[in-house]
Amino acid sequence: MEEIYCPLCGKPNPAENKFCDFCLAHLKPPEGGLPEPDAVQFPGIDNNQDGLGSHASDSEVPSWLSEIEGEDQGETDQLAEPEPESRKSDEPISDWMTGISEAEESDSLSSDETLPSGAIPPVDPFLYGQEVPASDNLPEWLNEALEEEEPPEVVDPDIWAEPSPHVSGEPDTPQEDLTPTKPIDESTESLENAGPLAGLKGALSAEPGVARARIPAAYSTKLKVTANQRAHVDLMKTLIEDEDQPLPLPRRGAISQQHVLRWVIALVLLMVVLWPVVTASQQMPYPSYDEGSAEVNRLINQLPENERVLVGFDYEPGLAAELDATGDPVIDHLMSQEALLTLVSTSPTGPILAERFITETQADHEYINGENYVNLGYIPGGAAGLQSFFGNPQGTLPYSIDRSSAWGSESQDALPALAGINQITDYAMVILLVDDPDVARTWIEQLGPSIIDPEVLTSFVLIASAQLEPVIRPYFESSPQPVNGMVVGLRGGAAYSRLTESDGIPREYWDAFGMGAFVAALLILVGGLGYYVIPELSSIVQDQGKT
Amino acid sequence: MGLSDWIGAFLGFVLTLLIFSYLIGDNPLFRITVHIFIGVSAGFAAVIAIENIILPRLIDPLFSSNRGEQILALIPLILAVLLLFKISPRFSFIGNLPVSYLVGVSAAAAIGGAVTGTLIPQVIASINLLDLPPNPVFDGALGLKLLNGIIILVGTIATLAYFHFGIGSKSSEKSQIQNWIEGLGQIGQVFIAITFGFLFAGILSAALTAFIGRVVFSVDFVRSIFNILLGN
Repeated sequence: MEEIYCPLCGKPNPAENKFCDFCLAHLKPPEGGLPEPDAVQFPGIDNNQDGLGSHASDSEVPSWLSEIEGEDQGETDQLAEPEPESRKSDEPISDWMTGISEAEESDSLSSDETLPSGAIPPVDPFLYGQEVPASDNLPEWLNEALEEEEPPEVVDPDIWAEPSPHVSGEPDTPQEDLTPTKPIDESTESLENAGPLAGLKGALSAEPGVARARIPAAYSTKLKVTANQRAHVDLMKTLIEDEDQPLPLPRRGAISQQHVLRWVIALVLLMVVLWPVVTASQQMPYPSYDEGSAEVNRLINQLPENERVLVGFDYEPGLAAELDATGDPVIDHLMSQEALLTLVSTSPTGPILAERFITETQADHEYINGENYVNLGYIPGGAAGLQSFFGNPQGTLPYSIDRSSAWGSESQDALPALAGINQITDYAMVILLVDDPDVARTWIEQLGPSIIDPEVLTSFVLIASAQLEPVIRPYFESSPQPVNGMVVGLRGGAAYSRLTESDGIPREYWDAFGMGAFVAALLILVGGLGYYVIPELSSIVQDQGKT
Repeated sequence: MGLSDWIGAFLGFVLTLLIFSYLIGDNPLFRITVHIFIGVSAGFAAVIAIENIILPRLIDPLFSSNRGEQILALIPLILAVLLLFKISPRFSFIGNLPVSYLVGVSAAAAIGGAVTGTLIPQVIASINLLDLPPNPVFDGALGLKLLNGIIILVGTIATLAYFHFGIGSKSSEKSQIQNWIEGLGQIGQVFIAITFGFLFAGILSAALTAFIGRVVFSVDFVRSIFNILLGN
């Protein structure tokens, strides 16, 4: 296959190509011939100006190159190009430019006298074509590298035999920069054949700027690591892989010792609880006295009839059984005083639990929604919502749970349970049924500062799950007292039932609770003793066996 | 009991048995019941939020004839829309405004309440326990009050000493202060153990009551079924 060489980059291309595959330069003159040199004239462009006068200043020439130039001065003289006409023009120049020109001239004469401007200093040919002998002055590794290195391709001097259509005296590649240049004959100076300068003779071509694009050097994407690094990587990989692998659990049988123990405990507790429930036993006596329950009983007894009371139902369905049993005697007592109730909750499930409590647990009192009580529903916003409700109940919860206007308007009276209520201290009592210590503390913290004031007659009572007692008791026993009374757990409810002599849910649960609690405590005691005693006994037996 | 009550009681009984099936180990029936409970709770919470908050507090005012209510309802509407941008990771920064408002208001309410409702009153109450009246008469009540105050004081200091984590000195011998703090910390450990025991007893009591509640419900249901079957 016939090939032609690119005049710019010197690389071979197929003969039919118009442009170089590597640098996109023209390989052949455009069809139809070149325009006449004088046909296209661009203002301000001097055809003879090659712009190479300051290409290689002496300051940029390294010392080693200067030495080479000195050795080959004879050759260089032959290759030297006369200084362009533009540099010798008689145009008037300013003083400062004169200084620069003189300095340049003196520099060039001192160190680079043989080099005409625009000519590139030649390079010692042995760098390309000859083997470099190992030198004692060079380090060993460099000598080895030089021996291994293949000499680059030598530029074929025949390339100068045929005048290139593009040659304009400007070096195009770094390789050409280091190659001895041939003096350019003005008569054979070629015309520009591309770009806006096409047709001009000896002009700087715009094309080389574009054609200088080079294919980027190919770097290996393969990571080069040493054997030591690879060993570390392998070690790290092993460690990480081990972390990902789940450790096999010890195999257990379908029925383990733990299962049996669990079933035995459950069975024992179930039997103990089931027996009193099935037989409806009521043998266990109520607890004798509980200070918190007694205080609540006293406060409710002091309430006049039809007094307004706010009741918060802030517990989850899971503990409804305990709170129902604890709150049953208190709310029963409250309803027997014909108190008008307002029900609220900061839990989404609270409103429905409140409705269920009033209509099912206290069904005997036949309280009617809208007359004896009103369910205002859910207070959103946690502590901020509570603070808002205590300061402005009408604005915070304007509607009841059935979306009717609860507080009244100009045309409608407020519901009886809300009549005369403008702030939280207008209620005679606030009762909170709660199973969460955080919720209880939020209510106490938001309401407490208002209740502590001696002029305020509102009392605050907690009906709480047994697990809350350590949290709320300090508030009850402190002075001043943010919590005026508390009924805690089934024991508190039973104590309250004893005070009111009522038989409600606490009576139904109390025997089962007493027996269950006793057996649970016994199991804990036996289990704890077994945990500590059995290993000791076994070690003693082993010691005796050894002796 | 009506039909709906019967269906409700039957479902409650079956779900109670399914929860108790955890005794034989983690099983699909137990998991189904837990999932049903979570789903029902979430659904009910959504209904309450829509019925009790969004419709009466946001939608109804927007369509009311009162211009003031309409404008006031626009503020939560805009904040709610901005909050929805939190769904998108790209535009979540738009939702920072309502979130910062919510966090700021909640934190202010919670911190203010904690300081004025718990910290200051409890400090005053602890001081009052050791605050003797003028010309005190040392009887049993005053003695108990003083004893109570001393126990609370010692318990508070000792518990705080237990949670004191200081940097050990370079010398092998401990300083006198370190010995004191360690001794107090050991006393504090006793108070902490008593508190945990109290908490555990409360949780056990609450769980036992809940268990009794389920047993009573189940027995009542089975008893009513028998009554129907026997024609009583």
